Amino acid sequence: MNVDDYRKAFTAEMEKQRQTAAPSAPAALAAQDKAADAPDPLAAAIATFRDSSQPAGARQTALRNVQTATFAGPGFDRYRSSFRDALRAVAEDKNEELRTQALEMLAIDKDEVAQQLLLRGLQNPGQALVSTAKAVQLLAHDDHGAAVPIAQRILKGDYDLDAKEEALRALASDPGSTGLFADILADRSQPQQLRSLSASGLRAVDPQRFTQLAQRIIADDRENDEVRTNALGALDHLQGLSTKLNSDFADKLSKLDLTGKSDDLRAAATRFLQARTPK
Amino acid sequence: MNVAISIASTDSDGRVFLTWTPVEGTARLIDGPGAGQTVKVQLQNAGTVGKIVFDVVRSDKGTPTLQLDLPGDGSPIRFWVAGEFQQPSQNFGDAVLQVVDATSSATLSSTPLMVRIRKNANSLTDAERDRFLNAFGNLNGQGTGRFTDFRNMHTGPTLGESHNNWGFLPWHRCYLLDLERQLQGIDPTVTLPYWQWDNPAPQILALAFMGLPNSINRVQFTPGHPFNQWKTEGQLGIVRGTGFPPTQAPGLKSEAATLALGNGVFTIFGLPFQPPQQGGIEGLPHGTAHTSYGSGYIINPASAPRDPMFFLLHDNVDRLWAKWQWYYKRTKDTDPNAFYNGAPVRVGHNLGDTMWPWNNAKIPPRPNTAPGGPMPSSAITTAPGPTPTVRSMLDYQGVNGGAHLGFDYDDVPFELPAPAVA
Repeated sequence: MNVDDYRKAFTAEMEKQRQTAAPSAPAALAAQDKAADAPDPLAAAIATFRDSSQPAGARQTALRNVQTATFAGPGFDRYRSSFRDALRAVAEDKNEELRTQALEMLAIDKDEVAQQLLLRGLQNPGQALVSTAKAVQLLAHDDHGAAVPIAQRILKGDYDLDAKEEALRALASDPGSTGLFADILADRSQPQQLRSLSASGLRAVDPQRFTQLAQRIIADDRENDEVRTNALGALDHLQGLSTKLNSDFADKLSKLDLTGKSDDLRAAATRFLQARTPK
Repeated sequence: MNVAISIASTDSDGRVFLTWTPVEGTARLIDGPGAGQTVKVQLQNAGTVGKIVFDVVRSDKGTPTLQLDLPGDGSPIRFWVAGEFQQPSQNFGDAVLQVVDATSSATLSSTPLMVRIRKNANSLTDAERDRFLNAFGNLNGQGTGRFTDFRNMHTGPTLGESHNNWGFLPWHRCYLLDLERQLQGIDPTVTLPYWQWDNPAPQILALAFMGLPNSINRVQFTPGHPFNQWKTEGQLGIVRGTGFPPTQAPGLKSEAATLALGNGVFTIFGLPFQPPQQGGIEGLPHGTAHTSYGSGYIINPASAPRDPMFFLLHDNVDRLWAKWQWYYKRTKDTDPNAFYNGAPVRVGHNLGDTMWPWNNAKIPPRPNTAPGGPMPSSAITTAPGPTPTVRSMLDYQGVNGGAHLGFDYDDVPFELPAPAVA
């Protein structure tokens, strides 16, 4: 389509929009909020979100409006303190969805009040505000925090798979967990999700050890396809892999029989080899 | 006898990348019949996917073929070439500039190239998607790559450089361009795709692309996916909520309604977001696009770039601005409807200001760090230079005669201001 015809077609579309557009809505952000007529609709939205006597739907709408307002950057600064206080209050709310959202927003911001609440819940399950997995996930947002020892405890204990996955993620940059990552990765009795995450963790903290173990796993036909695929993916982008290592392994990989193996594994092998084929 | 083709937008490896913006080329005979004679040749498409158009002047009326009389002594003859609108490449070499002898039809040269265009992420081929993901994963480098600079350009303390003021759109255009150039340094066939939130995007919000969150908002990917190694701030992985099902659109302000804001007046369309007033595009739909996910990194401006989805979102914001500029013909910095031209505002948001961090400015009110360094150069254009200004982001296609920035969107054409031929 030439530009002139394209312009004509687009102009028709814009004209249709002009004709069908609703009468202009109030410019205030919290227009849908009952407090839209308040002198400061955003302050009113924060109050609505915080107010546990309000219907959950109204509180969610209010929260969404306030979240959108944070994208004003400095324009939101005068509301920041009251919003943080509201989030802290809602962090212990009886509504699970709202309190999880509040805790998540606070935790990503490394809020100490949220961290204390999460730790309290992990130490005393009767006071847990979110699942163990979610608590570990949220605590790990602060890499100077308490997540590492908690994660190590969870990996040794009787916790669900989600919790153990989050624990491994929390340890992903911990050099003290090298042995743990290597042990889980090498252990075929471990769930593939934990082995795959251990591959990522080992890659970060001990690339040489990871490379040796990963190559062994990838070349082993008895291994789980997903673990092999994830190990290959982690190896593929590893910077600093020596040219000889690259070439020896690529040669070995090209000779593997991947018939009947998963599409993802075959695709990962193809990608690895193509990236190392001289142009 | 053959023909040597030289095109301005050629990289150091000899590969030609085109957008919709016409660039200059020359054709000259090699081993021609000698001085005083000419050979009539035809420039034409021979590609299977990407298509190109030609003209003898810089225009928006290029044609699929162009006949030239080439001097027998090898003197070059100038022409202009561009990607044909709505006919982008999917990979390098699927567009070909072929030169044939107009009399004998003998092929005198074939130049593979790529019509390299930013596309709707939901429509990418698997190969395009995977190249993009590989490049982006590489840039992240499991937290040790150059992506860290992009994360650090958009944090709580730096938001005044990029939000809540007139420079919101130009700053983010520059940010995306920097990122795209870094990706192209890894794989030159890659462009930044956009998330068009008006429509459902089940191909984007999928395990093979931007992933799907589990019950605790941890985004999951297919085995071997590069984002399984994605790391920011020492943490492996991405947290993002499910604000809406992938088979539905999130119900934001539509493209047409967004472009209709202010009816072509930038001081309404680009009005800074000043809560509780929603402003222009910065508030709605940009802000609501972020928060449509409900939770995770992307709903907070200080943490949003930790999620690669952020860049697809912002590419759509930029596309909307580009489309607005095209539709209302608002690319001239002297046009008071094209950009804010009033009393000076905060530094970094006025037309003549250089933008942080590319200008390495660290004196207040600028942040005290400047991650990333100067804007990287491009193989195919000289713009915007190492320290871009707000002004340099307006005429990204060079419709007013300057250099283009080297990108285009699949649904925003190149159109010269009247008259049509420059």
